[in-house]
Amino acid sequence: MEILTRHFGTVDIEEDKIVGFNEGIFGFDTLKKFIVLYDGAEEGNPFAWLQSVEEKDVCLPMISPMFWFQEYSPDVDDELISQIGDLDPQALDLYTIVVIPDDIKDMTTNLKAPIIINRETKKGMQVIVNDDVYDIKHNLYEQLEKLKKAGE
Amino acid sequence: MLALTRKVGESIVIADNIEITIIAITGDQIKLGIDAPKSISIHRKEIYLQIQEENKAAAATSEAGAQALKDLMGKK
Repeated sequence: MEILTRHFGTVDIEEDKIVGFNEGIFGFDTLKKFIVLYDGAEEGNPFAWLQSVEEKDVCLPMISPMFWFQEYSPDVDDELISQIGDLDPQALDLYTIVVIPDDIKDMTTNLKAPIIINRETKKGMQVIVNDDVYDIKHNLYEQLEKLKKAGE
Repeated sequence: MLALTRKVGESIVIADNIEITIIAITGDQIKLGIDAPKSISIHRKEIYLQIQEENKAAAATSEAGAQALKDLMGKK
């Protein structure tokens, strides 16, 4: 099916890729259907986009935190995540939402409230992790610079 | 909003499985104990509000922002 998107014009998506967020996400609790889009290839892409299927202007940039922050291991209660299906860790994808202000050096990611998607059940949710150590606004640009340097 | 007055040590029960107890009162600070199933998320209100604001800011990424992201990837 075709959907309108915020940044990618009209996109043809596979309906079985639509993820159901029963509780929506914080601030958008009426939006229950999202799809994860990539600008270009999915493989090796550091950024993903959580596009609402119901509201074309709602599209949130995300990263896979494991790629950027190797030590990221949030504490979330199993009973909370079980809302989106069985807890097979292989089936769960974890993303954190990115905010891009005018100056890209100020870009941050929300490590305190990741998005969890169960690929098997096609359900998703946004959870607030128990740890106090993770920030809602964690500077991403610094991390990007570190990764670039490490790669050189 | 339902308003109930409690003393230290007294509790309120919500639905059948959430209990809020007044643990201590010190000056203008009240320490609350909350007993609830782990399937229920409980956090300070400010955290919820901040997260809502972050989501809204992320959802409103401008064209310039999206382009900046694309440029970043190009450099990578």
